[in-house]
Amino acid sequence: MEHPVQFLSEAGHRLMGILHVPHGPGRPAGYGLVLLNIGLHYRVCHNRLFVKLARALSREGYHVLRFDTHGVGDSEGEIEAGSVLVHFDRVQRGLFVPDTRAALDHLSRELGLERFVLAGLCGGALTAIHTAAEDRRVQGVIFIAGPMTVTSPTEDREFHPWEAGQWLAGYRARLRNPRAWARLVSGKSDYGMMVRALVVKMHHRWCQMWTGSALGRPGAAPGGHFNTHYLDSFQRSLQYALSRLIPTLRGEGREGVVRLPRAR
Amino acid sequence: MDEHPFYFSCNGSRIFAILHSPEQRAGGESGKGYIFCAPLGEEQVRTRRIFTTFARELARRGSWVLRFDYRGEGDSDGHFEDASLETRVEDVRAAISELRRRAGVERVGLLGLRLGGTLALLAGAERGEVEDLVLWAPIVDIYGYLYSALRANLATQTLVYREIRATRDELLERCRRGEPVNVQGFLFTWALFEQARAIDLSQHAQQYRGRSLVIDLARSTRDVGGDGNRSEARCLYEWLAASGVSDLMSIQREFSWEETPTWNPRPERLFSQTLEWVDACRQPKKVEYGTPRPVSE
Repeated sequence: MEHPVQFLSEAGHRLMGILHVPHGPGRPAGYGLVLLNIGLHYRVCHNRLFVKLARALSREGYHVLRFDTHGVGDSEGEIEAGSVLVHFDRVQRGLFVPDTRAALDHLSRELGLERFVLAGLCGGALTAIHTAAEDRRVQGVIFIAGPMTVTSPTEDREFHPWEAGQWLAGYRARLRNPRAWARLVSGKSDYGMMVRALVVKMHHRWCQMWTGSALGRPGAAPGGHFNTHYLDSFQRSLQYALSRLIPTLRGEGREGVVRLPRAR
Repeated sequence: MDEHPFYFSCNGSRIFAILHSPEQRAGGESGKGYIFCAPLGEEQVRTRRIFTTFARELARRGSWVLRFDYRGEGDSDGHFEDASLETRVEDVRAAISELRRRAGVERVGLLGLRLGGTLALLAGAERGEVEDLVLWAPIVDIYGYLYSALRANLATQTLVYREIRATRDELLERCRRGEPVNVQGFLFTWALFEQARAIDLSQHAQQYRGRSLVIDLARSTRDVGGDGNRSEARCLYEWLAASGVSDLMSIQREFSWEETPTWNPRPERLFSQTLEWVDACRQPKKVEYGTPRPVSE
């Protein structure tokens, strides 16, 4: 069972969503799930992933809302034309957090739900963790393939050591493939990429040995392209989660065992 | 903006739709409604916002617009693999009836992008109730288009296995034996390929008697227009012009349906050229038709 819903964002835009209500054998779970989409893709997600997921979860007893953030899909508002990287950068820094809060407000108002789990894919995962860091109604986050490095349009795109490793692994896998050798000797291979991957990986190794850091960059933990916004939100949402856990532990006579800073 | 999301029924399945009402300040309704026919699968996901923006533009100018998702796509019921070209044309027909019922308009136009353009033509050629067709980069060789889409499966194989384990012909053979092919998460069935092969679009195009605008979206400025341009759009235009009033425009593509390197919800040239043509078509056109022809033979 599903039906369209419309609600206002904090900025006054009318946002469009589809609410899936529990049906089937599962018992109502008592909290709502909100699915947050990739960057600027609309609420169905790639290959209708969220449609299938929401229908399956509603059969298990969950209220599930998937919605379009402002300027995306069928919602009001505008996201100006430009490089997708620029917009991803804004998403990574919390562009859609106010819209997500508005979605939670809508579910609270209409269904009386006060506890939520946010599930997001890629940029949606980051929106989920940023929202969880500041909204105590969020009880959990399902973080699907969220990027931990910043894709910044203002800096040259870094060829990440992990990415270089993936390329090298691919080359290694093709060492016994005659067709790959034929491409190599006939000049059809991307020699530039081979050299670049090798140099980046070797440099990374050297940095690891020099600094003794797994991150591999001299004095770079967690700088470089690591998404510090993500790290901050992750830490804060974890503190919320643990602060909820502590009263339970105290009730079991373990008072004083766990000491954590209070959430901001 | 007055936009109403709802479901309507087609052969027992729910079809998701959004009805855009004409804005009052537009100087009165045009008495006309447009139905938007979306492209297939992932192309629909990538171009959703362009349809939304253009629907709002038409509503602002006094037209009704109905956007809908085919069965098995978007928010409609069903699975992609259960839908076919036939069911999609049925969905367009059902959308025409629904628009007429809800908006009370007599005059209907269809606008389609890519395979949506092809489906609009198939539905429009069937019955004499479609006055205008706007076809953005329509697919003419449907089978070739589906075959070409199998490349996405090869890309997935390369990512997952680091090699290509099945060529497109091998995938097609498996498909023929009843194993659907995964194309970016959408399952292409043999029925889809079979129906595509059976359609002779030239006959359908020559059966259509209304007005039409075919817009060729060229990859680069070098490909725009020119006598040597034998694009699919030009080919379709010639078929349509043989039996009705057709216009052809060729402009550079301002957005991509294959990938999203840039975000452009408002392709200005495409919108302005289309709106100019739509405004020029405000006068009703009498459409006379012969015997309807089935979609595939």
